[in-house]
Parts: sequence; C-alpha cells; structure tokens
Amino acid sequence: MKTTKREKQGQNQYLKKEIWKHRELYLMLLPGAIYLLINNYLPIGGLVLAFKQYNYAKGILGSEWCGLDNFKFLFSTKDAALIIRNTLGYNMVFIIAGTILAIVVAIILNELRSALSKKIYQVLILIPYLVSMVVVSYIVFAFLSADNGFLNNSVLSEKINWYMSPQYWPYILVFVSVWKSFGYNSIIYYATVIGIDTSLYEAAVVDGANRWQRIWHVTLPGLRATIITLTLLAIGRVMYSDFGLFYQVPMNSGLLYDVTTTIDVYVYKGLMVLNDVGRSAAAGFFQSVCGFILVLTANLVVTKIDKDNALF
Amino acid sequence: MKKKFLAAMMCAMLAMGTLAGCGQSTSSGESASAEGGTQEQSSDMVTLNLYIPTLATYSEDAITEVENAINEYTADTYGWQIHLNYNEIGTHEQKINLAMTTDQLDVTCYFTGNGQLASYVHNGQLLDITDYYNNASDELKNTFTDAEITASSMDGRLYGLVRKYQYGGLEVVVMNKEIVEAMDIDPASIDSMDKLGEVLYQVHEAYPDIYALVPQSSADMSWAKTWIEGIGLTNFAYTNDVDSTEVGSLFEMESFREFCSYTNRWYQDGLLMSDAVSNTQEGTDMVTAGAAFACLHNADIDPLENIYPNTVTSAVLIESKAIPTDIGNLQYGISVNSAHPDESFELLSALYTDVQLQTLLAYGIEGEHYIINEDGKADYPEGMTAENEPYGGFVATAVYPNYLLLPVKESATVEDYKATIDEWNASVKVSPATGFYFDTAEYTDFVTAYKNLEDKYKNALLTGSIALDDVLPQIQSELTAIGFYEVIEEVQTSLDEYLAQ
Repeated sequence: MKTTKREKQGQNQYLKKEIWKHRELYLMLLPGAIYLLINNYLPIGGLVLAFKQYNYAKGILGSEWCGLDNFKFLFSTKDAALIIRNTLGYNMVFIIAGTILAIVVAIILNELRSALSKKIYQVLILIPYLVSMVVVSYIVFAFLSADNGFLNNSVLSEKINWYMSPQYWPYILVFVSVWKSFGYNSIIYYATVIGIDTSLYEAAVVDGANRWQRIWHVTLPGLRATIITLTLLAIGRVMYSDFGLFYQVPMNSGLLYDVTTTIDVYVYKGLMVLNDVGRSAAAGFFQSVCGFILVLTANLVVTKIDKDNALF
Repeated sequence: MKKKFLAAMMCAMLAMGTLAGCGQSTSSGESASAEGGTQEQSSDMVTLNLYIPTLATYSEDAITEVENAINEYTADTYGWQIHLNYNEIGTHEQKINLAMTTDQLDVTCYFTGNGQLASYVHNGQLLDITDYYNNASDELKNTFTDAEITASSMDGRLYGLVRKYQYGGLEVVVMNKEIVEAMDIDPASIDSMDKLGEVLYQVHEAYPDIYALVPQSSADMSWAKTWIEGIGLTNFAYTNDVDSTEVGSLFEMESFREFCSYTNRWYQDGLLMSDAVSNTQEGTDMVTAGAAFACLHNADIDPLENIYPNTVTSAVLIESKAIPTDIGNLQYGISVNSAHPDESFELLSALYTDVQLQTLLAYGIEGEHYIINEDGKADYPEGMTAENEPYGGFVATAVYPNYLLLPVKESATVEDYKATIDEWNASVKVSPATGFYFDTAEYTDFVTAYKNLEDKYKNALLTGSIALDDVLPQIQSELTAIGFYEVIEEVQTSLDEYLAQ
C-alpha cells in the first residue's frame, strides 16, 4: 500500500514527538551510540586495507590493489595449521571450561545464605578479571620460575623448567584463562539466577525436590537463555585470542611457540619485522568473517533446537 | 526537573568523555610533547614536528620551555619552528608508524638495528633525500663517512642520516666488582670464552647461591656477536664473521656453534641462569646488585664502569666490527607525508651542523638544565642530578643526531668527542656486505615464517638452555619446509653480484 505525503508527515511528527518525549533516554543512549559509531563502525572502512599493498606515500585509496595476497601469509607456511589449531582449540576449551565453572560458581553463590559472604566471594572471584595480563604473567612466573618458583621449591621434589617444557602449557594457559575470566562470567550468570521466579523453587520444594533436583530442573533451565547468548557471543570471537595470555604469560619463550602461537601472536611477530598493516588488516578481516560465519551457524543450530533463545 | 537536568548533564559529560579520546594525540603518561609551546608558535610560520625516542624522564613544562627557546632561535635563523615530540623508547616505533600515515610527523628518529630501514623504504614511509643531500652544504656532507652514508642508503638512494656515534661494537664481560676483588680476579686476563669459563667455575664454587652468568638483557645472551647478522638488511641472512661473504643460516654458522657449545656446557653445570629463556631483567642490574657475577656486554668508547656502578670490565672478547645495521643504528629521516619537505630537510641538516640548535635540543637551556663550568665543560646545575633535572636530554645525549657538536661533559672520559670517535671508527672492521641490499618484497611470507622459526630456537640456544646438536636436525627440516635454502641461495647470488661490481 502506498503511503501518502500526509501520512509520511504524520509519521515524522509522531517520531519527533516520541523522541522528544523520551529525550532523557535518547540522551543516555547517545554516548554509547557515539562510541559504537567511532570505534566499531567507522573503522569498517579500513577493511579495504586488507586488499591493498599499503604504501604510506600513496595512502589507503592510492595504494595498489593486491587481491588476496595479504591473506596468503596466514596459510602459506606450515605454521598455518598450527596457529589455527591453537586459536580454535584453546577457545573451544575456554568456552566449555569457563562456562561450566562460571555456572557452578553462580549456583554456589546463590545457595549461600549469608549476604556478607556472597559479597566477599563476589569481590574475590572478580579480582583476577581486573588484573592486567602483564601482572598475571609475573604471578605465574612466581609459581613457575625454575630457580625461585613456588612449585619447584615448595611442592615438587624434582625441578621442572616450565618455560622450556611445552607439554605443560596447554593446561597452564587454560587454567590461567579460566581463573581470570570465570569471576566476571559467574556474576552475569548469578544475576540471571537471582532473577529466576522464586515461586518455581517453592513449588519444587512442595513437590519434594531436593537441592540438586531444584538446581537441575529449575536453575539450569532458567539459565539456558543466558548460556546460549554468552556462548554465541564467545563463538563469534573464537578466531581471536587474548594476546596477553599467549604472549606475556609464557614470557615469549621460544621453546613454547608450538603451543602458544595463535593467529594474533603470529600476526604481531610478523608485523614487528615488516610493519605491514595490510596483512594485519587481512588477519583481522579473516578473523571477523570466520567469527561471523560461526555465529550465524551456531544461531541457526539454536533456532532449530529452541527458536525462542536464538539471538536473531 | 532537577533530576532531569542532572541526568541530562551527566549524559552530556559522558558523551564529551567518549569524544575526548578522539583527535590528535597529546602528551600522556608515556609520551611527552610540548603542547603548551604551541601557544607561542606563530600561526603563519611553518611548524615542523620532530619525533625523538628517549629513555630519560622529561617534564612537559621543561619541554615547552626548551621548545620555545628553540623556536625563538629557529624563527629568526631559518624562518620555521619546531614541535617536540618525545616518546618512550619502547613505544617510539609504533608511534612514528602511526604518525607517518598523517602529515603530523616531519622529521623523526628511527631505529635500524634490526634492518627496519628496508621496511620503511619498502612501505614508502621515508622520503628519498638523495637530491636534497646532493645539493646540501659541504659542512653537512663532511659530517658523514662513506660507511655512514651507505648505512642509510638503499639501492644507491639516501633515505636518512645516521646519528653521529661510534659504530660497531666490541664484546666484554661486566663483572661484580666486590667478587672480583674478593677473589683477586684479574679482569684483564679474561680475553676469551675459555678464560671466562675458568673464572665462572671458580666463582660458582665460591658463591654457589648467585648466578655466575646471566643474559645481557631479558633472554638475549649478548648484543655483540662474532657472526654477522642483517646481511642485505634482511632478518635471515648471516655470515660467519666480519670478513666472510658466504651467507647462510645462523644455526649452521661455526661461530654460532662455538658460542652455544660454551653456554650449553655452562648451563648444564649450573653456571648460567636456569630461567634465562624467560628472564625479563637486565643483566647489569643483577650484576650491580650482586645477584649475579657476570654478563656479556657490548662496549664502545665509554667505559662501562661509569654506567654500571660496582662493576669492572674484562678485556675484549670480540673485537669491534660493523655492518649496516650497526652503523648509526639510530637514524633521522623525513616522513614521505610531510607537508613541508624542504623545511624538513633544512631542519634535518641543521640538526647535524648547527651547534646552537643541537645544544638547545640535547642539553636544554643553559643555567637552567645545564651549566658550563670553569673548565668549559657541561655539567648539571648545582643541586641537580640525572634524577631531578627536568629536561632529560643531558642524560640521554646519545639519541640526538650529532652529539659531537655538544660541549664536552664534565663526566666525559675524553677531551674531544670528535677526534675520539674518528679514531674509533677508523679502527672498526666493516663487513664487505655493507651497502648490499636484498629486496624481500617478494618474500614477505617467508620473512614472517623465518622470524617465528628463529625466535623459537635462538635465545634458547644462545643461553645454552638447549644443545644445538639436539635440535639442529629439527631446525634444518623446518628451514627446508619454509624454503630457506632456496631464498638464501638467491641472497648469495645477489651478494656475489654486488661484490663483483
């Protein structure tokens, strides 16, 4: 049906009125919207760099097109399989281990009766999330140093040179990552848990459900939407890695490269030699596209299983 | 209504806060620039942005003061002004790379110790100044030796000017003075790795609780080496020694094998720090503090004892030698995006020839940041030291383009900088590969892969943490997999052609 001019004017006036009516809310939206525009949308134009042989003298638009050449370095050597394996493998483990631990902690927090204890534990578990990865790397070093480390001097009978032993690092990195992030995630889950209708628990008690059954049949189903949302968001970043975790925590020890080199670390090292921003843009573009496809796929799967909890 | 107004104000402030990070970078925690000085800069006069790295602490007020003094002078003498941008040395490269994408950088200092000149030229970041230089004054041309001009050139074109400094470096051992005296060790007798080994074993026996030997810096065992790196301004081609013209893999160099065999033996015997591959400390800090006995160290005309208290230096282990990446491993050049290339070259030229400009820039304002004492030497004003002098240039003189022009410091061990440097440079052996450039534009994937491969093994081998023989077959198979031997053959062919010319 065709909209008449008068109807359009009416719609515009209605829109203006609505905006003016909720002006405080729109004003509150403004900083976030500006932030998103500047930091997330404007740089999208820079993706063109991924397809250009960037020359500082010619600028972005003047530089020559180079097709997919900038993407080749990620796949042209034997390191390609290694860095993609590490990036994907670690992220999958982080998602699974981090989610399970965060949910467990959120449920435990909910089961605590003392309000003071809850607050103390929330603060304690959140602290690692707020600590810089550089500081974390030195905390890890204090534990693992061959000469002066806590483990070698107080726990183990035989000295291990941790920074020269790649076999331990998948476990160390998973431990550090989960330790650092579970507090933040568990608070998000905890916020959902306390929002679950208490009448459901009361009904379960009346029906004779024990604590475990209440968790299984009330709490976990109540968390499903949050778990799906957070997991989908995490899947979107599955091709990215925490540079600090993989570069700083292992102290950039060369002997650990096989288990610590992820796409971001590889790109950083390459850029330090060549200063080639085109490749960096290509790597970022590749990571974004992969993340986008993965989110769409995961969301499609969620739609098939449980349409109400899909993101879109 | 009050609440609404308050909410609106807070939102507006948040929005302003969001925008505060945008726009031109200004002086912050790790970058100091003379923002205040711009107020005194004349709007109708060209202002050139000069970027300098530093390890010293500079106060913004002092930078502004010095900038104003410089501008007063340059406005009258040259008709342009400058804007000083000091960056911490660790972030300098990143900052100039960003600034070079805009016209906010005119003249900058850049590092070339790892062959960065090739990247700058390949990426089109540096202005070709050959024609400017050819038409420049004799005073400027006479400032540089042929080796120095070669070091800042590629394919016969000049892209910058090297910082005037002694080139090449020799290797010595820095040792803890108290232990040397207590054990009656003769530092002059340590002139080889064998002699060093003998002393390390003695020290280890007498002081088992400290490290006998630690890396020079972080996991880097030593900055001075017998083998020659950076051949053709690449990161992968090496020769065995300064005379050799046969390029190859670092891991297959005889001199590298010899060095690693010493350190590996010392590591196995507990002389060398177990945490060497993950070390983040400076070797000299540990030696000075008595946590370690010794570390290998590069040296030049300045006695290391003057820099590191409580230490003594051995005899020379490796004689001084130079390759392009050694010669003036700091250089000054002009950004290709500079809006004022003519004035920028004038500034570049003045930085090497104008005593007044160089002294103001490096030492600051006389009477305030430094004084000239009765002996005619430069010193701190009374009550000031390196720790509290607000303009940090006096303690970080070496980063400036031409410190040979400056008044000699009271603390200097020489009477005439220039004569001493000339004498030193004349004695340095220069690699015949100096001036040779291998274009890696077609090998960028290989360069990245090689960098990862070398980083994986290099420090672990040099610190003796692993034995070369144990990993060499693996390294060779990885070198083969990334096509190293084909590329190095091409480098050899190109080098032979270059030498034949």
